[in-house]
Amino acid sequence: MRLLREAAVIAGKDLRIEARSRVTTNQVLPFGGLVIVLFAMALDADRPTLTRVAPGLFWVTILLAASLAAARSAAVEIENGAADGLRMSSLDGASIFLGKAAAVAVQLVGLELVLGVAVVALYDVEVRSSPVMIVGALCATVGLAAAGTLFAALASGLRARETVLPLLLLPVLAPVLLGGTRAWEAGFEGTPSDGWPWVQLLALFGLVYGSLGVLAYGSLLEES
Amino acid sequence: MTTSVSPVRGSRDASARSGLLASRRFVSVLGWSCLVSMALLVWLGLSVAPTDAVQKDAQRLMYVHVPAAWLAYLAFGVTAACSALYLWPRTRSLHYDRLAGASAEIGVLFTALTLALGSIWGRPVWGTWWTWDARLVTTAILFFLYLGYLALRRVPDDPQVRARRSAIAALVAVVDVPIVHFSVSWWRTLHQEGTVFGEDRDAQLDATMAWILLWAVVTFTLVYLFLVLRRYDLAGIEEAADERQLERAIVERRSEAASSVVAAPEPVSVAVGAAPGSAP
Amino acid sequence: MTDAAYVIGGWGLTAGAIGVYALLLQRRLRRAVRSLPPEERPPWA
Repeated sequence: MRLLREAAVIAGKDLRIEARSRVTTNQVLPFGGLVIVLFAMALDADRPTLTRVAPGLFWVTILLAASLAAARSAAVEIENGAADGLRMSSLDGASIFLGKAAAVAVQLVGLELVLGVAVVALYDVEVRSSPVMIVGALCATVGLAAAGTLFAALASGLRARETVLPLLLLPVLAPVLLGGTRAWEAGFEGTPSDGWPWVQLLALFGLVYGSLGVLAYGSLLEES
Repeated sequence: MTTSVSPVRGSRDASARSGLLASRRFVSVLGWSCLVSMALLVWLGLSVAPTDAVQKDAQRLMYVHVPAAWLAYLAFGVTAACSALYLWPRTRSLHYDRLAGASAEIGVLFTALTLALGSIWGRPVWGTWWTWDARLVTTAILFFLYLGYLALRRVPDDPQVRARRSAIAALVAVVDVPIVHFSVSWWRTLHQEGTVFGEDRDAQLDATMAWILLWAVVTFTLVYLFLVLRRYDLAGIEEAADERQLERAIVERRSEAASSVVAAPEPVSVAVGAAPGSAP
Repeated sequence: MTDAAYVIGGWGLTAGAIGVYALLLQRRLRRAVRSLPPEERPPWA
């Protein structure tokens, strides 16, 4: 239980930083909205096409936003040598990872909520079954936050981190894109029962990357 | 040369670092046997092998496509094993890190080759350069995964730090491969009625074809061994050369500081320009 | 194009990729070795 308590402290710290700096709300969220508008422009605002590919476009947007949010979460620790503070705090690597991932996840849920509403409104889709979409999105968020936090820590402190991180992270997230898209397609147009296997895949992904992060994050902190 | 300055960047003795896995003799014998074996393979694959009843001559691409794919998986397997050995405290050594990097580079080369050869084979047989088949998509993702790994390796950093990061990235990538494959094949089977190439493709291989394919796999494995040993040597020598340069710079800097009476001797670490700007 | 052209292209690409990579390695090796002082060069250089 100490693990969770420590994780909550870290998550609270990151969320407080976000509440004061407002990078996610003022930069990542508008970026996501912009991507959604740009997709519509690229596809010529052709309603039937947009409606059909809406789930895929939504999840591509979330993937891009997640990579930004993860990068931000790691950048917070570099400024002012905050990482040294973390290292000396005697907090366990696993709980730091869980806390940081949880903070990213909370921000991602907010992004998904706003951008999801935007997609439904702008791309003219009809929501048939929301449970499969909501559970799917939550499972996907866990995976995105876990993998994002782990890879952002891997790339943090590197000279070329802004460019290395997406190249490292996005191929790893390919299953999340597939699973999230299929689950949302099932919720929008298809039969909801088709979506549940994909939700399970998303949950598995979140579990795998959550465990990897818990195991590996500590050794990334102690370096240099 | 003073040796007392070498502990910069946690270095060991330079000659031990460029330590060779194999003797020079072995490598050159290996190189020549690669050439002979490849020449033999060209003859076997292009002239001895019987022409396929269905695909005609196009099937001869199998003798390079399949072993290239095998090599890619072998190389990434070696990268994963070496990364695990590096992370394991008892076997931690930069030799494993270098071997992992060398193997991944060759793996990426052969993954690209596999994709290109698949395309070239697909065009006459299926009538298309690319199809969103599960195996193809997985291979493409694999290619990008390890391209990212190589990009991570190429960023200059302290060797031990870089080795740890790379090892973790390699292990995470390996864990991802089955998930990607599983999700992609699920995607294709749910959304597409059967794949372009039926599973009967490799159902019956003529005995001669099977032997030649085996020969091709052996040849490519030899080529892998040769390339990976050379690449590993190169990594060791380049690291040693980097370190030499650094030491020379430090010695120069020190003599400058000693000759100028006015300037107070600067701390050595300032001269270490090669350290990343990241140091917290 | 005939099948033979694809086959030759594929085999040529394979040989070319391996050959070019091996040559590039060789060149980088030689250059790296030259940047080391003679007494530190590996015995085979």
